[in-house]
Amino acid sequence: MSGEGVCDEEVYDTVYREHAPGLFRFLAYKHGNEAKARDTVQESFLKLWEKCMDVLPEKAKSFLFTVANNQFLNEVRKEKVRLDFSKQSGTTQVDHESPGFKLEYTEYGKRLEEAINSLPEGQREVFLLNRIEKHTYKQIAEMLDVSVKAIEKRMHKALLKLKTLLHPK
Amino acid sequence: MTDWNRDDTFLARWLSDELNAEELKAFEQSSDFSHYQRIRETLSNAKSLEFDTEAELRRLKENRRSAQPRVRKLSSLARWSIAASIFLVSSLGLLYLWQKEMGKPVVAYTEAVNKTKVELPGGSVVKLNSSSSLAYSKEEWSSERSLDLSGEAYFEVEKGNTFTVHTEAGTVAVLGTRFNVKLRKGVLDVLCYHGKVQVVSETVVQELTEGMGIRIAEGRSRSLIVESKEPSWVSGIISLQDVPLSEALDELERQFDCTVIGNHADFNGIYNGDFPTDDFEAAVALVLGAFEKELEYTVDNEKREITLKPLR
Repeated sequence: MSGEGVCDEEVYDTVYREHAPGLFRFLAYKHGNEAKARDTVQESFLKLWEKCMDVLPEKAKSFLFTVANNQFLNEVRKEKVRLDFSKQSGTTQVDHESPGFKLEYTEYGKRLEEAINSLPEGQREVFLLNRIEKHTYKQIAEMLDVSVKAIEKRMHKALLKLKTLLHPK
Repeated sequence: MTDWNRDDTFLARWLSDELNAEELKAFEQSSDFSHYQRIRETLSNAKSLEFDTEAELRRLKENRRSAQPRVRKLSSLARWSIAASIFLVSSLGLLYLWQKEMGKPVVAYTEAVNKTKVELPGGSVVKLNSSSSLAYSKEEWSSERSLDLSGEAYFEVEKGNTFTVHTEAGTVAVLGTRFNVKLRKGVLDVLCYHGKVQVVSETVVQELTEGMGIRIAEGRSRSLIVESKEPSWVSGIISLQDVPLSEALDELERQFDCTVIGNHADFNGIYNGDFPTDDFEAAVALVLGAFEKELEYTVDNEKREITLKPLR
């Protein structure tokens, strides 16, 4: 029962350096809160350490993304007064502070930032992961565990909405 | 209006340069094109968020130090010799009882909340759920693959000699396969995920193949459903099939080290469902919420206490 896989300090550090920045940006874009995103990255990696015997290094990424997502959903749940398990609604309402990315400080840039901020969570995260982080639709689909087609639809809707907000008829 | 308004992935394909020449040309001539182009170009200058990887890694290690897991392992020969000397000095210790009862040294056990994984000689793997223990003799392993289990464990057995798991309610024998054995309060559940296993108790002899499960309780057996590729507790979900409320509450106590206050002996509710092992309040709500018409309760998250109100 000696240390193996992710339990090995060096493997763990490598996994951290490889996945923590991406996980951080994913969470920050999703929730629009950098501080919360940094803490959730920490908690996810603590969980990975606890479960290091059960997680192969090549499975670490999907483990981390799953844990981070659940962690966040738990946070949201805690904030609600009463738990309700009868409804499993897919959308979650979250307060957004700012989408975090840095646009050039122009009038148009500012308006675009605001418009992106007002997108639904599902569209915003996908849009920013693609436009800012340059992830392909396929990579994003894997991160979110949905189809590429679903990602393309969200991208299309996001851009359509941004255009309507910035250039109303 | 142009066609592309009816295609709900059109703009996505434009952004990833996947439009064909014809589509692109039509789009570029549309009145809105310049607006889309401006959004795209403005975003191409945006900078990604900053993340100080090394500083955050140092912070993580600080945090990690204050949150060490509590799994205890008794695996090495050194530990066993310490245990043996304790055995010689004080023949009334727990280990003595174990020796007497099971005849094999305990190699791993878990307390409430914890889970662990044990690698056996020859590459077979055992994952041990909370509040469980496993014993086998290392010396005799090469001639006889035989284990004693109390509690619940998932086995991934490499091909080889017959592999036998003994519990106080029955024995499970296999060649090379994956299966889960659970013994709680005299009720034995065996679920076969791959290969073939044979379950033998005083009253039942049953062969299980992939996807089959059996429950032996009070001498009688019934079949159980195997729905997944491995037991869900391995990935943090406890799944209970038709168990009395008392057993569901025991499982909560094992998973969260919580305390249930209040008498519920008269209540014969049957629980059938799943709960997560990383969220105490959600788990309690899922278990007791199933009986919301009959049972009232309160939860103290910090003290980890569930208080059942008297039955109406």
